[in-house]
Amino acid sequence: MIELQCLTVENFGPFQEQQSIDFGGQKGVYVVHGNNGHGKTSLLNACRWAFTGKTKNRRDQLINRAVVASSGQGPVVMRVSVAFTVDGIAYEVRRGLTREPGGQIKETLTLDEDGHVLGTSESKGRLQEILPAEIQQFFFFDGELMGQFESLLEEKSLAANELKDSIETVLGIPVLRDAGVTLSGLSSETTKALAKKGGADVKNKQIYQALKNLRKQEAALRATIKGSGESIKGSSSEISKLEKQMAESESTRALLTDRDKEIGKQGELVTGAETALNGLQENAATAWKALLNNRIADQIKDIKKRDAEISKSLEQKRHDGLVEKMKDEIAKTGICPICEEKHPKAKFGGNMSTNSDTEALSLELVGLQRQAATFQGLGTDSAQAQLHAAIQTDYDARNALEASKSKLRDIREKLKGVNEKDVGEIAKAYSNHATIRDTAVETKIKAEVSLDEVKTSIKTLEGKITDSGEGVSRLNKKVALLGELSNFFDTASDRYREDQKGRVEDAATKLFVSISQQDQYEKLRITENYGLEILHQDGKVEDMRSAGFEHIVAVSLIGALQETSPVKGPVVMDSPFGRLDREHGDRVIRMLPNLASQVLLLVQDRETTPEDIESALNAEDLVAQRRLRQVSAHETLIEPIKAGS
Amino acid sequence: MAAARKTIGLSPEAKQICEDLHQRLRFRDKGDVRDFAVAHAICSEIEPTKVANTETVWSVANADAEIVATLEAFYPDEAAEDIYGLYQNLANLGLLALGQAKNYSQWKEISHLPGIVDK
Repeated sequence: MIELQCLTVENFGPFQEQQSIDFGGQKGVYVVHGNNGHGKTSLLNACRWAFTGKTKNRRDQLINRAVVASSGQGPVVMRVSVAFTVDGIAYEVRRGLTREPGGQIKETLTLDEDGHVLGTSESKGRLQEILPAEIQQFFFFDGELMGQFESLLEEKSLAANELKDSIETVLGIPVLRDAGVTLSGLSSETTKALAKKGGADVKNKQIYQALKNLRKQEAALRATIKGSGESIKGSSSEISKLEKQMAESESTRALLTDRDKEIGKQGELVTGAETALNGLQENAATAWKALLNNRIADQIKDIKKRDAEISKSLEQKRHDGLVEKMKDEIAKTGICPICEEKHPKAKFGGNMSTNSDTEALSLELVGLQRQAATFQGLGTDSAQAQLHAAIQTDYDARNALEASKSKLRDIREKLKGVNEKDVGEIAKAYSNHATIRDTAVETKIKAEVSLDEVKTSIKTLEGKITDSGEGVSRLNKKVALLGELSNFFDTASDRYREDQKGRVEDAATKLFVSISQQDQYEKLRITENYGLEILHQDGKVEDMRSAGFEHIVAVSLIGALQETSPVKGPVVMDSPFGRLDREHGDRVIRMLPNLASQVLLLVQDRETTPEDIESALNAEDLVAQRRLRQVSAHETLIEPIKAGS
Repeated sequence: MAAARKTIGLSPEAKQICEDLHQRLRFRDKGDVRDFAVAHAICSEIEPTKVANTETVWSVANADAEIVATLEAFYPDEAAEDIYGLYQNLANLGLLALGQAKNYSQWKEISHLPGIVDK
């Protein structure tokens, strides 16, 4: 851990004679108050420049202008020194610029390590080991860096990629990754050497050629397994993000499915209703028959009754006619035509009926029979039954269509305000990622099986090699070992990265919750790019983040990186409360002792006051407070805070 | 003997009722409403008196042969005299009777017509 002892500036920025900020190795917060142009950013730059040699200004602009102006033709020397310890070893870095009379600038660098002065080159190397320049921004930062963190949520931005690399560096991930790359390179070199050595032996030449091909296959399969693994991880991460959205939109999707089904069903129901109406209209053409059914039934009954009466009458008339005929015969002959016996000629009464009566009845009977045939031929029974059936079918079809329309109206009412496209896209994205993951899993499994086969083949071939050449066996073992090690480091690098991300997420969440104190926010979730999303209690991602909350998220991420990084050191913050209201600014101040073991806070009075700092921090967490007093445009003094100042 | 009738006409009132029922009760053809009205007149035992002031609506070629036979069976004398005149009278009288029915304005379906569905 890097611990600051003392920062000294001389002729740097607005600071003329030697002035210091003395931590004395104490843990806690050191606060420097100063308004714009008084030198806060110069103090931040002094720290950054001392450790890394990096500056956002031209070098000659770092030298105090008033001193340059007053030096006449003489040289001007500017110096920054930082005394610090790293795990108990004392260091002092001294960087200086000398402005020669001709205007040339000469830079000097020395590093004292435990009392030994290192040369310039060695000093640079040691400083890079202590605090790599690539990660300095997480120790010395201003509002600009805060803004960059927002870009991490835009996964394809260049700024996001650069920042992501820096974050991975501060988390120590490249150490393992680079080891894997180095081992892989060594493995390739050794394989070549082995091929060369083995290839010289004619007997083994074919085996080495085969081995070479197998090792190529092995490398390709390992790459495939790694690529598939990354693809599985990436798509699984997306799937887990989408799962919540899928769960949230499940009822909407169900409604959309119901709606689509109902629309399809309604098409069939409309056709059904049209068919039913058609059937009803067809049967309505003979509705008159249906209406006459009962009447005709009565008519037929009457006709049958009359038919029977007439038939009986006609029968009687026929009988009467026969009797009359016999009587006439007996009257004429005196002999009965049936028994042929003699009867006295007797006179009988008048005729019982006339021929004209019979004819009338016969005609009526024919008329009735014709009428009955007409009525029976109408088929009113079946017309009525068919009309009733058609009415029922039409009624059922229209009811079903109405029910469907009503259901569809209800569904549409429930879907009001739903962005169907969004829901569709979530489902589509989920399906796409699931397909990618499934394909990657399949590819990985196949590649793993193939890799086992290739490894077995390699072992078999290696066993066949006659160790005629010197060191062939040793090289073989080396190739195998390097391959395994390279693979091991690749896997370890991936796992370490994921573990570190989890730690960053947990640490950032802890800080965020304590600063924001918003009940509706559950936690922060880290993205593939190290961006941090704010999650609500219900799992939804906050997509309307205020500038103030962006700021809190950025501070939380910096604190989390500090806690998680293998490199630990002081934090120098320049005007960090720019977008925070007073309440949240106070919460950040209270949280500063948890951000790093030493914090140098450079603030404007409108951000916070010495009194606010004293009331927000415990006495043991406040190292000292200083004020930057501007004496002139190019001269600032670092002074103790006086009571009531 | 009068020349054979070639058309079937409706009085303006009967025509309006016929058109109303045709549209409202979703009959396919106005002739179907006319024939229903004839059946209604028969069932209601309306005397087939002559209806005046009719305007031609249909040609007799459009008349249903079965209903003609039915009229001949029900009203043999009148049919023998002027079958299509009988047809026209019963159609007009049936329509007017339907128009005067108690719930006429509430009919929305063919099934609402009197005598179609057993009460």
